[in-house]
Amino acid sequence: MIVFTKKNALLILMGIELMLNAANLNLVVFNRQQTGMDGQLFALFVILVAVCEAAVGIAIILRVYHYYKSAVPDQVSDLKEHE
Amino acid sequence: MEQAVLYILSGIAAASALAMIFVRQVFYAALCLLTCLLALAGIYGIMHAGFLAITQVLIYAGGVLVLIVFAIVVTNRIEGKPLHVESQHRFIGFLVSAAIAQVLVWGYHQTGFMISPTQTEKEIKPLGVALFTDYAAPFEIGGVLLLVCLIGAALTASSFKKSSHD
Amino acid sequence: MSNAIIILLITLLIPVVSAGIAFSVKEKYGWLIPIVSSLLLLAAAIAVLFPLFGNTQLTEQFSLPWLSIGNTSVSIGILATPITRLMAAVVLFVSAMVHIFSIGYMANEKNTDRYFGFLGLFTFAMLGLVYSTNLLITFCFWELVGFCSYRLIAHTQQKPAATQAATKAFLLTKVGDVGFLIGLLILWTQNDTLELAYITSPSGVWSTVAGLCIFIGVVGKSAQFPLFNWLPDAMQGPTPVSALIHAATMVAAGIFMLVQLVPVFTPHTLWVMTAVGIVSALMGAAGAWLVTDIKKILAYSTISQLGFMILALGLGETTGAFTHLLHHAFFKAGLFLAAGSVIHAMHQATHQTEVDVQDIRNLGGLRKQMPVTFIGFAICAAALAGIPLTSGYLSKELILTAVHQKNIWWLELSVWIIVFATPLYILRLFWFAFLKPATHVLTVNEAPWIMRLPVILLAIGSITFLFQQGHLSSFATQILQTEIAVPTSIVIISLAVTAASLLTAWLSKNLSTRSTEFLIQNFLDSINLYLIRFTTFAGSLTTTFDKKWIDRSIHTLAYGKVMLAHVAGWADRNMVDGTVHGVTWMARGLGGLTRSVANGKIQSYLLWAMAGLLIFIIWMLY
Repeated sequence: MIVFTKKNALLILMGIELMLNAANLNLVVFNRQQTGMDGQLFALFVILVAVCEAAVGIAIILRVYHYYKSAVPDQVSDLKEHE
Repeated sequence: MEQAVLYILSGIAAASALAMIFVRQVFYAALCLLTCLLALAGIYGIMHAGFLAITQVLIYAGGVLVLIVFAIVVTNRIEGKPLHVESQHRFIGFLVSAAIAQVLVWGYHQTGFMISPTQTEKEIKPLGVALFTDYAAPFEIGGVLLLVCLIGAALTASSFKKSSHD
Repeated sequence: MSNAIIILLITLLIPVVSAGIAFSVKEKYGWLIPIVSSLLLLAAAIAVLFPLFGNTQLTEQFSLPWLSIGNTSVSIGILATPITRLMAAVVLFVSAMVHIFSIGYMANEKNTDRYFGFLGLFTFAMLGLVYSTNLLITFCFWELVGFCSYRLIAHTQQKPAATQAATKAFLLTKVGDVGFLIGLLILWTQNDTLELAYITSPSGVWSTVAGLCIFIGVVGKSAQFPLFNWLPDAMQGPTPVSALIHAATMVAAGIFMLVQLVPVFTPHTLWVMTAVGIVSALMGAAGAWLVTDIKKILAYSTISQLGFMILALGLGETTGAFTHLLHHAFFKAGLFLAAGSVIHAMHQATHQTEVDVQDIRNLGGLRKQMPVTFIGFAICAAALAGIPLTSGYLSKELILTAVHQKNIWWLELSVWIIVFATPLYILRLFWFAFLKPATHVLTVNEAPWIMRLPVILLAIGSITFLFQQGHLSSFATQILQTEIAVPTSIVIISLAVTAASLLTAWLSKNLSTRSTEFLIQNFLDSINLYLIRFTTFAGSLTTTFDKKWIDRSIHTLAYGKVMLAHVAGWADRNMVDGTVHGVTWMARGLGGLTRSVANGKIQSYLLWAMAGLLIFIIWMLY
């Protein structure tokens, strides 16, 4: 709901991190019911990827902010056909 | 004892996640995210995933969140006033989110829960073995990914002095 | 159509063809027309009469249905009884004489094309009136004759007096025509037809009313009291016109109609006719004795003689009146044409100086200077006075006989007064114009032969030169085969009265009369003025009525229509256009709705994508 609703790009990013963490939580918890470490390993890789994505995402947000002078994603609507 | 702490930590995680929706300022939302992450790290610890808990605290709370806070500061600088966040499409967003939640809950119900075998010692060693034997390829690729993302992010965010056409 | 009818049809068409050519041919060749048409008219006159020489009772009729409304129908046709043939012959002959005379009289005038055109048209209309079988057609020709008279009186358009006189003539005869039309309508409703052959007297009080109304028309057309005021003023027209129209034919049309419609009149109507006839005759004679203008004397004389004829008709003496009509046509036309010669000659003699050539006090001594005209005038004057051996004497005797048979003392007395008065004024005129010594010493030339000839011919027609059963008879009585049985007492008394009148006239020839001509005219003019005032008042009333009610209702109708148009426009704008607009609004709305998916906002794209995915998943799971 944060991703759908909020009008700040950074907040959207935070929502995405939250989702990833939720997935991590599931992985770790259900790892308890198995033998082996697959769940935790997967969670590690998820953390890895999440970090990369967060870094690149922030870089993009900063560029967009520099161009559009606004962090509101609605204002970045150049894909919309002007009436 | 363990269960009580588990409940408390899960409650904190859920509450802070909910709070993220309702707080007005972006910085407070970032702080809520921090508490959520820390609570999750605690839960990982209780779940016998100590390595993961430390990793979570180090990388997420120490790296990603700092990055987000810096970004907030940067995007806030030019505006000059406290960054209030408004929300739109709340109803539809809530509906869709509720639907997703419902699907996941349904998925939970399909699962049968088993009693877990307890593993208390040598948690880290099997992790390291698996990392270098079964999961060596993802490990290497993950390293390359980190490199690429690092360079990419640095390049993308760095050319502010030149013209801003991409 | 038998040959006779064809001949009559041709005689009807000759004058109108002549009129048409006169109107259309250029002035340069205009001199040819009157010559040709007068010869043709003469031939026509003879042709019309020819069949009657064999069989004097020949009656034929030919008619075509012209228009029909419901059960009634009107037909045009040609009626050929001896009466109509004689009348037509007289009209044609006099018209021919006038055409010939006009060649000389109008030799140096302008606009002769119009003149001869209307002359021909008039002859055609008069013939149409005579031949007609249906009263409606008669009425049409009656109006046409009035119109031609109007145009001919006002021929010299530069004289304002002429145009005024023409308008007066037209209007006064129009008053009579209204009465005629009302009478026609009454007859039509009673009889369901206007065919002359079938008209009978309607029943009850309507017959008197119808008869009176028709008589009003005759009063107007034939210049009787009280509508006679136009005839002296109509003398403003050229003299040949006066000869043709206002002496011989048009004014005779009224009398002719009375003769044709004899079965229609009730005894009451007939007494009214007699009274009007007597009054008109006496007033006419008085006027003729008092005025000093040649043509006005003759005009008043016409009024008087027409009154005499109407008097006879009122007493039932149709033959006498009709024959007097025909004789009067000849000698009055002759008198007018002779007067025309005199005026023409005096004009040329005085070289258009200030002398009024129509005033008889300026004339005189023309016996030696215009001998032929003198003789012609003398013969016609004698016919007017009723001296034996003239046609006028014959018809006068017929009428006197009928009067005597009625045995009403005041009627006989009035008639003897009329008979006494007639030679008075004509001898006065005769003496002033020809016998007395000239007032101004002038060299007057005799009129050219082309103007003398008609006078002579008409004078001959006024003499009784034919024989019938031991009596002298004129052409008319010969053809009509009338019985002239006059008691000797009447003959003696009439001779005595005529002689006494001539003697009185001779003795009082030098009696100068004041110009009391204006007295009669002023009296009647004031009556006309009241009539006019009343009519204009009634006209203004109808105008206000029309403006207030009729125009108002039309305006309301117009407003209603405009409002209806506005409503229709509103309906069209709002409902019809509204439907179209509604459809477009819906389409636009739907389009906007579907377009809102692609609004360039990332989060909404995400929402739609997730929604779609969810639907897919849920569908897959169930």
